This record gives sequence, structure tokens and C-alpha cells, in this order.
Amino acid sequence: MTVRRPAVWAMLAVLALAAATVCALAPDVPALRLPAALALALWLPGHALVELLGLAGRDRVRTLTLALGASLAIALIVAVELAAFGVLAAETWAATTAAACFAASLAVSHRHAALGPATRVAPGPPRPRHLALAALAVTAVAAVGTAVVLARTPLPVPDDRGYTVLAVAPTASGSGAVTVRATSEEATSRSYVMRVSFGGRVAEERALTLEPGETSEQRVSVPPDAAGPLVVSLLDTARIPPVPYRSVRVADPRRIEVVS
Amino acid sequence: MTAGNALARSGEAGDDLLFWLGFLLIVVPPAVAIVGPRPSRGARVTLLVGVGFLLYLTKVLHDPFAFTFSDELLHLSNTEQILREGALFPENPILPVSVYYPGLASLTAALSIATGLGAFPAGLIVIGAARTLLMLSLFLLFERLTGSARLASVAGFVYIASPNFLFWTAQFSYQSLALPLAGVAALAVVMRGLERDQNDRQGWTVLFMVLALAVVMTHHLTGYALVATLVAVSLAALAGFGRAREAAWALALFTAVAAAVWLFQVAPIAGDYLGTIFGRSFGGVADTVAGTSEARRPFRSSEGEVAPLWERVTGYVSVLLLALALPMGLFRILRRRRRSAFLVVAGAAGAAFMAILPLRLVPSAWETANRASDFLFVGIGLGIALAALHLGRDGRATAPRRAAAAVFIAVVTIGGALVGWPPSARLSQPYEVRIGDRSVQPPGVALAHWSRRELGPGNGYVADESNGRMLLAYGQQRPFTGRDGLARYALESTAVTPELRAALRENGVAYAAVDRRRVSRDALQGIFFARPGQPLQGRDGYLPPERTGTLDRPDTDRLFDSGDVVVYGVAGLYR
Repeated sequence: MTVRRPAVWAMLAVLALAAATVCALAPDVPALRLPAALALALWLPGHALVELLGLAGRDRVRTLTLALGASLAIALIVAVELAAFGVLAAETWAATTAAACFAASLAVSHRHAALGPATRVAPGPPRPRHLALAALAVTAVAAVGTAVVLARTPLPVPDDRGYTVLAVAPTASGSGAVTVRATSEEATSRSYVMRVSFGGRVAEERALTLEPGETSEQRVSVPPDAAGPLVVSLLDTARIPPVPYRSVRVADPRRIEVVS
Repeated sequence: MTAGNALARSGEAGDDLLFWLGFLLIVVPPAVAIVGPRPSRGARVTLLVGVGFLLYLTKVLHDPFAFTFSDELLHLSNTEQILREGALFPENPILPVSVYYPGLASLTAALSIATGLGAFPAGLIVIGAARTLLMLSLFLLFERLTGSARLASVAGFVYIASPNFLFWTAQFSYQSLALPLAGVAALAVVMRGLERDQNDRQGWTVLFMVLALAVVMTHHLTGYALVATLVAVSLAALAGFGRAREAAWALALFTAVAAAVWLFQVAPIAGDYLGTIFGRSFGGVADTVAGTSEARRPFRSSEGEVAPLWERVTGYVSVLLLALALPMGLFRILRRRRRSAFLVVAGAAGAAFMAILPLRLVPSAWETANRASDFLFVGIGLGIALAALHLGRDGRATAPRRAAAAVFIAVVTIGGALVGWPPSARLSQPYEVRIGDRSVQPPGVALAHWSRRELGPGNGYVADESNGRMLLAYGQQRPFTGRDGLARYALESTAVTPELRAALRENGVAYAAVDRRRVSRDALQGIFFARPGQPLQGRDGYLPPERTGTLDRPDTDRLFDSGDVVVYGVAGLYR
């Protein structure tokens, strides 16, 4: 049986327009955008469609389910269509979804007008006091919040899980130089010797100490007469004699480029 | 459960115990409550949806920093590409078919840009809404089919024992969204079949069409399953089960045409993709039956990991309990066959679930059987609920009955969770950790960020399963991975042959990421740090140097070295 709620169409239309306006015009107010966008994706268009089709009934569970399902479907179809035309953006998606909701709401109003005066839905049975339920809900939310905080707390692992990255990349096309970056994700300060060699001949050695989280960047110029590969190694000075810890190599340093 | 996950990430003992204790606390008390006759309809819905959502939160808290499941990273990449380029059908060399079903990626991208949230939180919201919708639609569907809120809530709880419920259908993947939408579409079909009023039937028809289109755009198999369900319901109605007006030929035709148009006009690749999977499954069954292929051993992963004894026992007992209870439920369904054609089809689905269980013993058919359970378990839920309520038909919820219900629910839900996910991936693994005084992410993340920053996007890469997914999702690269094909050829060859050079050139592969940890081949576990207590190189140790050193040659560049992971520039091999 179709149940008609007076002015539901007006409420849906106004909310849809308000939500779309917030999404489109308040990009820097996340506290407003989040509920507005969620309403457009999860509730408003589906609810309008369900009202339009006369499927909203006294059963709130059913209405909620249909509204959620239809909203997700509409928001999804709108997003796919906009992306297909390459115009998916906050403004277009919010406006199109809200327009669908608005059109359905207007159709609902016409439908109601054709059916005659609205009849109020009979009030449901009196609700019990919800204080206990509210307290339970607050407790549940607090428990979930605690769980989220605990789960998102990075836990310590043994220091040997840390690592150092040594990487090489061209400085610029045809510049005749490379950029060598050493980044430490180790637990403690580490000392190295950075050795640069061309064709097996050591061109440069320098001490390098990396603090945890530190990145050292070094530009290595390739001499015109460089023969053989460029090799850059980090030698671990904690060992005697120092041993190669990380190593990168460019096979032909005179032709340094990135292949894309 | 969060404490269990924290212990697991710390490598401490007792993690499993806490995890399962939490699981039982979430599932069993509400299950015992809903078995009884007292809870109101609203209370039943609240409990069912609450449990379903809490189990979704379990998955969220399993990986609270980022998407880490293997399929999640693929769909995250699709979403990020739509966000960057604003257009459909980006490239995804690991799962090419996924980009042609853009429902999930587009919706998540839209929500992301509309809310200002990143793709990760937006994806969590979408899948969370989908999980809520799944529980609501299942309840209403079961309620309409049985005429009882009590039966519906029990059936919903049994569905939670589906092997894929805890993790698979809670992950950021296209089926996780399509399945709930299909559930509401099925509800619309049932409601339409119950209506006598033409206007109301039309209303349900329109709603169904909107939902069916969304399903077709989101996931291939779910769309086809919806068509199959509608055809089966229509045939059942034709055969005299239920009411004649339940026949849904027009809806089946509409969905079939929509799915076919999408398949042939948008996603022709899906035909090859599914054909390969099903062909391999059928071939595997034939080989296993003929004895030419070894059968798969349950509770043993492809990496050789064997589940503990208690898990194997619980898993087998859970299946046994379902198998014992289901016939009684199917009998009850047959006795109600005049009530609903959909009910009969659901019963057949339950029987089909049991019938295809042996497919889990066939290595190449295991995945097909596992995926089918998401749909077929609807029938298991209905059948078991009808059996349980028949056993307690005098309506008395005595203590022994409640205890029996508690044990049953505990065993089948734990059994389902055990069957559905490998033991070592069930609890959290270290992703973002504290080393010294800082938060640090795994080397695979550093590799992905370095690749995007230094090499630029879109480079052809060969990589293992885990680094490949990071390169795709966070590095915007074009990785080839997999146990077959180019990646295996390139990464596991012991010599650089002319054929390998040609293959790299033909596929435009410029870089190779070589990870010497064996675990990097495992897409579920390779992206994480080794747990404290495990060896530094992970549970499986290192590959032998001759397997990882092939590309370390004078004509390749060695561009990135994090210790375990080395990136080679391999264009010199074919230039």
C-alpha cells in the first residue's frame, strides 16, 4: 500500500539542492562537505525514487533499505556516466545527482496532487525511553573509537627491520649528471662511506652519516672521458673493513636517460 | 580482536586466542538472542546489521592504514586513475578486466572528490555502506520469503558463516559492492512477485532496473548470477512452484540484454577472462577425476602453509553441521514450495553449495567454488534457519536449545572464517611500524613512491605479486606480475635469452623489480614487514642468489637498492 507523507517531496528537493550547493561551493569546509556528499550518495536520490515509485511504506526498515540501495545505484550510474564523458568532478556529480533527486521530488509532488489531499501517516506506537539505548550507543562508539586508535598506532618492531634506500636517477636529460639519493629508514644514526667509481676506478669517496628519516642527495657529474659503468656504493663503516651495504650502477653513464 | 591484531603485529603470543574470543563475542550473544521468540523485529534487524557491520570493522581494523589485500590495490589503482584523469577505462595490466566494470571505482572517485576525502577513506565508506545494505537486504529478502522476522534474522546469521563474509566481501573490490546491490534487486523481484496491484508492480520493476544496471556496470559475475537467478525463478514459477506472477522473464531479459550489451560493447575482454577461469576449472576437474592432476589438500595454501589442527577440525565440523542440517531445511522448503518460487530457487542454491564443495579439492576449480559460495550461501542460510526453527517449533527457547544454537553458530561462523582466509593473513601484519622514534612504511611503498617521482608514471615493469601491486597502486607504473607469463619468465630465468629480450621489448618493459624474499610472491603477505619473531626476510626465507641475480649484468642499470628489493633498468637488454 502506498503511504503518502505530506511535504516529503519538498524536504527531499530542498535537501538535495542544499547538499549539492555545499559540495560545489564549499570545497574548503570538510565538516559540511562530508555529510552533504554522504547524503547525496547514500540517501537522498534513492529516497526520492522510492517515494516516486510509491514503494515507501510504514516499514522504515524497508524504506531505509530501498533508499540506500537505490541511492548507491543512482550515485554509481551518475558517476560512471560523467566519467565516461570525462567530466567527473565534485560540481558535476553533486549537481547531476541532486538534479535527479529534485526531478523525482517534483514528480512525487505531482503524483500527490493527482491523488488528492495528503493523509498523515498514523503515528507509530509510543517509543520507550531511549536513555539506556543512547548510553549503550555512546559506549559502543567509544569502544570502536578506542579500537581504531589502537589499531592505527604504529607498534615498534626490532631495529633490524629498518632499511636504507640508495637510488640513482638522471638529473635532467642530457645534463651529463646523475642524482644519487640515500634515504635512511633505520632506527639509529648510521655512518657510511659513499664511493663513486667509473669503470672500476674510484673517482670519489666521502663520509656520509644519515639520521633516521634523513635523505642525502648528491649530484654526480659524469666526466666526458668516463669509461665503463658508474657505480655508487654505500659502505657500512660499522664493519671492518667496510663492506658494500647498498649499490647502484649505471651501465653507460654517458647516455643517461629514463626510458618511459 | 583489535588487541589480537596488535599482538600479531608485535609478534606476541595469544593473538589468535584474543582474535577468536572477540569474534565469538561479536557473533554468539546476538545469535543466541535472535534464536528466541522474544526480540522485536526492530531488535532483530539491529542485531543482524550490527553484527555484519562490526565484522566489517574487523576487516577495517585489520588494515587501518591502507588497502593491502591483493585485489584492493588493483581497484585502488583504478579509482586513483579515474581521480587523476577524470575518465573511464584506465590501464590495469594485473587485472585488465576490472577497469571495464567501473562502478566501484567511479562511485568511490565521486565520493572522494565530493567529500574531499582520499580514495582510501572514501572506499571504506562505500564498502561499509554496501555491507550495511547487504545485511538489510538479506533480512528483508528472507523475511518476505518466509513470512517471519525470526526466521529471517536466523537465516541472516547463518549467512555470516559464508566463507567469504569476514574478509573477501568486506574488501575494497567490485563484488563487495555488486553483491548488496544484487541483493536489493532480488528483494525487488520478490516484492514484485507478491504484489497484485499493477502500479506497485511497475514501481518494483523500475527500481529493479536501476539496481540491475548498477550491478551490470559494477561486476561481471554478479550480473550473470542475477540473470541466472531470474531465469531460475521464472522457470520455477512456470513449473508450478510459488505463484505464476512471480515469473520474471521480462526482468531476466532486461538484465541479460544489459549484461550482454556491456559485455560486447564495453568489456569484451571479460569473455576471455571468465572463459579462461571456467575453462581452467573444468579442465582441472577432468584432470583430477582422471587422476592426471593431484587433488588440492584442504587447509593447505599454495605456498605450503598448513592450518593448525584445531582449525582443520573446526572447518570440517562446520561443513558437516551444515550438511546434516540442510536436508531438513530443504524438506521444509519443499513443503512450502507453493509459497514462493524464489524460495525453491534458494533451496536449490543451498543444495548446489553442497554439491560443488568437492570442487574445492581441485586446484584450478577451488576459486570458482569459493566465489560461487557468496551467492549460493543464501540458500544455506534459509535452509538452516528453517531446519532450526522447525526443531524449536514449540517456540520455547530453553537453555539447552540456546546453548545448542550458540555452539552451532559459533562453529559454523568460525568454520566459515577459517575456510575463507589463510591463517597467516588472518590477523594484522606490520604495515606502518615504529622504528626508533619514527613511523616507517615497508620498502615496497618506498619503491612505488620513488618510481613515480624519479621515473615518471606509466613505465613498463616486471615485478613480483606484492611489489607489482604497490607499483600499480602507488607508483602509477604499468607492472606485469603473475605466476605465469612475462613476469615469471623475466624474474625467474637463470639466463637472459634472445626470447626474453624480445618479450621485454614487445611489452615495453623498461624496469624490473627483483625482491629476494620468497614471501614477495605472496600478494597477501609480501607487502608487509616481517613480524617480530620472524626472520628478517619473512617466513619463507630468501630465494637463492642464482634466482635473483640474472638481471645484474653489465648491460642493465641498477637504479634502486633497498637491500631486499633492487630495481634494474632493462632497456639495455634490447636496445
